[in-house]
Amino acid sequence: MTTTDTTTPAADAPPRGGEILCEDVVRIFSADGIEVQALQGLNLHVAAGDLVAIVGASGSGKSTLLTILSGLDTPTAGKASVAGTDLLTMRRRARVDYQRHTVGFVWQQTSRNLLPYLTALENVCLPMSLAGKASVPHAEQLLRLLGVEHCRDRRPTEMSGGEQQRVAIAVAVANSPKVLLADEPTGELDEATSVEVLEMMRAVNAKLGVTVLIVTHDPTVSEHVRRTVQIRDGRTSTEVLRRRETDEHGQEQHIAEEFAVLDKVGRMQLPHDFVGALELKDRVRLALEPDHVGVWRDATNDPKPAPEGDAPPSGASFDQAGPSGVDDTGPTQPPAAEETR
Amino acid sequence: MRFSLMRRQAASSPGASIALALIVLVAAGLFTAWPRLQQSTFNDEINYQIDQTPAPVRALTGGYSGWFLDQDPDAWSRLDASLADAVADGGPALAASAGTPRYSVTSDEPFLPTLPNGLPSDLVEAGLLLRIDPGIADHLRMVEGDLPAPSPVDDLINEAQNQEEWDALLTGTFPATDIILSVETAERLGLAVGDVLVLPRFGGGAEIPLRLSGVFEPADPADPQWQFQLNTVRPLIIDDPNTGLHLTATGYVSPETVAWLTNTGLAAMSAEFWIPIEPTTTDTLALIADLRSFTGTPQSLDYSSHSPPVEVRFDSGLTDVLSGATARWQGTAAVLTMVAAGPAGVVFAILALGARLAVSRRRTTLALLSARGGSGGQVRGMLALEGLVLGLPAAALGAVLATALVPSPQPGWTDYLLPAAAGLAPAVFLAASPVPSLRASRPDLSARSTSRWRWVVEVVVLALAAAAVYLMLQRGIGDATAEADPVATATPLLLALAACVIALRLYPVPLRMVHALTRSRRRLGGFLGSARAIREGSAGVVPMLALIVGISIAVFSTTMITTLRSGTDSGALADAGADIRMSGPVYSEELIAQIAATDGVTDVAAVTAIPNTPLSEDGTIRRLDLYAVDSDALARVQEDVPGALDVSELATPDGDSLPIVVSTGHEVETEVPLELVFSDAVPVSVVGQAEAASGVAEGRSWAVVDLGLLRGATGQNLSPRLLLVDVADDADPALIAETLHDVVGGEGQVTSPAQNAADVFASPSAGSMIRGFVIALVVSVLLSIVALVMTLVLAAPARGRLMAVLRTLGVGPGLTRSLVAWETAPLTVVAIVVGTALGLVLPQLVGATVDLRPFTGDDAQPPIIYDPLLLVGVIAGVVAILAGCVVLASGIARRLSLSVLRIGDAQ
Repeated sequence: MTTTDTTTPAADAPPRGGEILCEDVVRIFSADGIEVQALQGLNLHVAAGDLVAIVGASGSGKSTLLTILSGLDTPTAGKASVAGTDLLTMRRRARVDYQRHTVGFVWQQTSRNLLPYLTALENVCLPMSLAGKASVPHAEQLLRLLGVEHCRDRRPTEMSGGEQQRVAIAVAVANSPKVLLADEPTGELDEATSVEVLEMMRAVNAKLGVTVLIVTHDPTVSEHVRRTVQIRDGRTSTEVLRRRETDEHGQEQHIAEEFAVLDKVGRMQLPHDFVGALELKDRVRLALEPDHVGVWRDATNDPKPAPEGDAPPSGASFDQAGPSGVDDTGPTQPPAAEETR
Repeated sequence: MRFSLMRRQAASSPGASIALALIVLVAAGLFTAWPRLQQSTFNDEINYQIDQTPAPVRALTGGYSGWFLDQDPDAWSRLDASLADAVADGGPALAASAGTPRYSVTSDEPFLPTLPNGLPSDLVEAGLLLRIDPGIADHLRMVEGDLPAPSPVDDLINEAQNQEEWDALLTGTFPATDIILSVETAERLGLAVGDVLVLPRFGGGAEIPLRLSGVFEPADPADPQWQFQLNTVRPLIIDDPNTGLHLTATGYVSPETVAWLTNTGLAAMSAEFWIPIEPTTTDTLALIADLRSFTGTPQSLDYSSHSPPVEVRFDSGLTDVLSGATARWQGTAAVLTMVAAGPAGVVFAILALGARLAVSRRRTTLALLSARGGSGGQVRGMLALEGLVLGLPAAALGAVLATALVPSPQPGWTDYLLPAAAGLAPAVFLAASPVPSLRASRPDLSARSTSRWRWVVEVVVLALAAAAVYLMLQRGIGDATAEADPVATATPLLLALAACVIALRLYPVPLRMVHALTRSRRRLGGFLGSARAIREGSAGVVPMLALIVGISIAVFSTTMITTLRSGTDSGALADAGADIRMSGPVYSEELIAQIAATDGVTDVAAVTAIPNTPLSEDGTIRRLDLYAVDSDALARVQEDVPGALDVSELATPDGDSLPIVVSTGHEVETEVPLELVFSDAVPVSVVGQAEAASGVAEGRSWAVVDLGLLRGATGQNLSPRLLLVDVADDADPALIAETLHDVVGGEGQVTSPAQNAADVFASPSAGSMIRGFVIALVVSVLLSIVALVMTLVLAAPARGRLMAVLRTLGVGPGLTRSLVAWETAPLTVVAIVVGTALGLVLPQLVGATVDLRPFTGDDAQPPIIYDPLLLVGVIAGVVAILAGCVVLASGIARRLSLSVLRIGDAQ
């Protein structure tokens, strides 16, 4: 899955952002005997200053992850830290401080990001004043950065959806947080506006160096980020990495590669379509090869005998060869077994 | 910035804030006014009672017997000062209520003067009492002549140089000394101004001439002065059946003629003092305390320069009157406090509901604030500050208005505790409400453990209510001096809470039946509405509590008024002894026949009182008051009078002896021969003993005998001075009383119990009780309406979402009305049932724990009377008002439910 475009690259900013580290994060909701495991040992590492999108179907646990990262909820088990703050052991005072200075966020519903009775400028000043110091020039600067200085004295009802989300981004970064979390920031916007808002997030990431994590079910979002992590059933399953390459014609190309996520103990999820295509069920046969791992359907119970050989036609082969995704085979292309950066 | 944010936030949803502020304003006003009203009504009641008490009874009176006069020229001014000091030292409350102290000095025994024109022929004897009263000039008006001048004898005595002159003076003839008499007395004695009458001289010597220098009449006939000094304006005439008329006149001599009195042996005079008490007290308890301490110790009056001060003990009937009024007031206050506790509790519950409403209206804002780094302290602090900004000025305004509108004789800072609590309540409730979170809630996983806590809370409420009732019943009727205790105050509220808990538990049961019925019908509204009411459990505690309290107050007040009125009626009837009571003059047989023949009169029973009749018990004589009654007639007249004496055995003599009923207060030995001692002894036999004989006998030692039999036995025509009249059931006793008043020519007193009862209800405490009931009822109905509206508004978002879903399914907009009705109607119906039950039970609790006897004047606690017709009427009225308001509120709520469905709008 590789796409190319010709946008000019954003200059890499000094990594001022915070690192997000999740290891085996488990979140269990339980009430009166019912237990729902929303996160089942999620692993995620986002480097400081990175721009990462998390995609996943509804119910996959991405919102739970974001709630945890924003400090509104606490994981049941595992290890989670953002910019060095341990989210499991955080006390109330530390939590307030964390929300003031470490994270900022943008929610899906534009109306939930901004206080309806405050102007854009006042909305930007609000988190600063909650933290103790409101600076109008700083707020104005942020509005300018996001291209909404004309909305300075307008209330949310007098702005378009895109403008509202841009002001919301300004509000989220008002206290110069290390991490910016966005929950479906384009959920209520049309395509063109979505692109605008995502580009703004990219700009914020580039100019302020803040680590940006966008949670979305919108697949187009991944086109605007370097790295897209997919969550499935409460775990990170695959990642798409994007990089720029200058081809032989001097044209800059965006190259996207999909990888499966391998955790510390070696677990990984096979993509759904792989499993479906080969009718993999219950158990598979693995074989370690010098440069890759082979996965075969367990044929012991098959009515017809399985063909012999190192690379049976029904198997999938995981190649260690790394970045080779220039063909357009899409999902059938074997994902990289290791995360490369 | 922060303040502007708060200002904007407050302005963003002003409805809830304005409602909160208004509730606080009204509540603070009522909370401030209530104790002030109570206090001022109490004072009105006390002053009413003082006013109703005759001046001589309410005044402080005292006396000093024998040889009071002192020749010191400034004795009177010293006495004035001494009395004024005594009053001033008697305490501030007494000093404030006391009038100018008065006194007079009067001869102990009347002198028998020789009249210039001889004794009038109809008199057997005419006595004269001399009186000195330095202040009398202000109270009388000279019709003719002048006020008495100092006796010329005084000058002569002063001029006497030696013993011989002295003796000569005393044995010789005196010049006449001035005296004044009332016009009527002078006329009765046949005296004219200038006439000289002569007093005999004790132990021989010259007679003492008196010259009538003038005649007077009262400056104001209604002046209490003449109630203190009886037989002054008119001479005292005693009709002795054996001898004839004996007259005693009282005349004033000059206060500066003490030397004359002393030297002529006329100075065997005693002093009377009286200090009027005016009905102007503002601090009754202090006044009672001052009166008690003033009467408890003798007052020392220093008026003589050469003799020690005299000690005078004062007495006043007012202490008893005030104690009675205080007891009555405590009953009123206890009942009123019980009535007020419910609405007061509901006010706070509604403030909590209002705070919830305010928080829910801005939940996204608050959640965002807290997610953006607003600490719990910041968010709660902001809410608390907003609550203070809303509550304190509103409370202050309410308190100031109430303070200005309701004057209080004794303002105290404790009166402002409850208004202050009302002012702080929004801040506390706002700050205490859970801060909403942005965290996505999982409705499928919402904790259901609240039901466990609900059980705990309910059991605690029921246990507290039971404990409070048990404590109150254990304590029984508290003594009159007990201050309002917290248990008694809290019990009705706890009972209402308990009733509310039970109602909320029982509420689904009839609803399920209704639901089962509606299931088979075609209409969606009833089915959906009843299903929501059962399954969502939306019945709020606060509106239920408010409604129950409102309805129970309506029922309770109605019952209390019925009970007190009936108790007062029967108490008054027991006091009077009959429908009409006539007393005073001697009623002749003809007059009695004439009264019996009056239209509407069915029976007349005559009673002759023979006070201090000797009863011989085997030779030992003790005196009692004997009442001779028309026993046959009395039995008929007192058929339905509470506490009537059983006179059935009085009319049948047991051989020679007359049957009598003796009071239990006068124990007699029934085995020994008993005789009533008149001119002849009349043998009697005791046929019964009774504690009381309503309307007939008073005091402790008395006996009742048949009038006809006693007349036969003594041969005397014992004329009755008391008639007990029974009127036909359909006649108006008051009208007949007026007619009878004319029949007897206006002589004596004609009273009917209906008048007495009306008098009792005219007293400020009874009036304030009724006013208190009305205020509590109006307030609780208003509170119920507010609670209903708030609940409807609170439920509006959920209803709006439901309606949005239903609209997408093709349901018409009219369903909202049905849904709103189903949110309120079952609640109201259940509250009416439970509230009525509570209202019927509460009077029983009051009857068992509050002393209502001072209201009825009866010895027994009045039974609780329910008037079903009146109760149904009152409940119907309250329900009609509530229904009207619910319809109105539903209209408002319906508007609030209009919303657009947004897919994914979880909150």
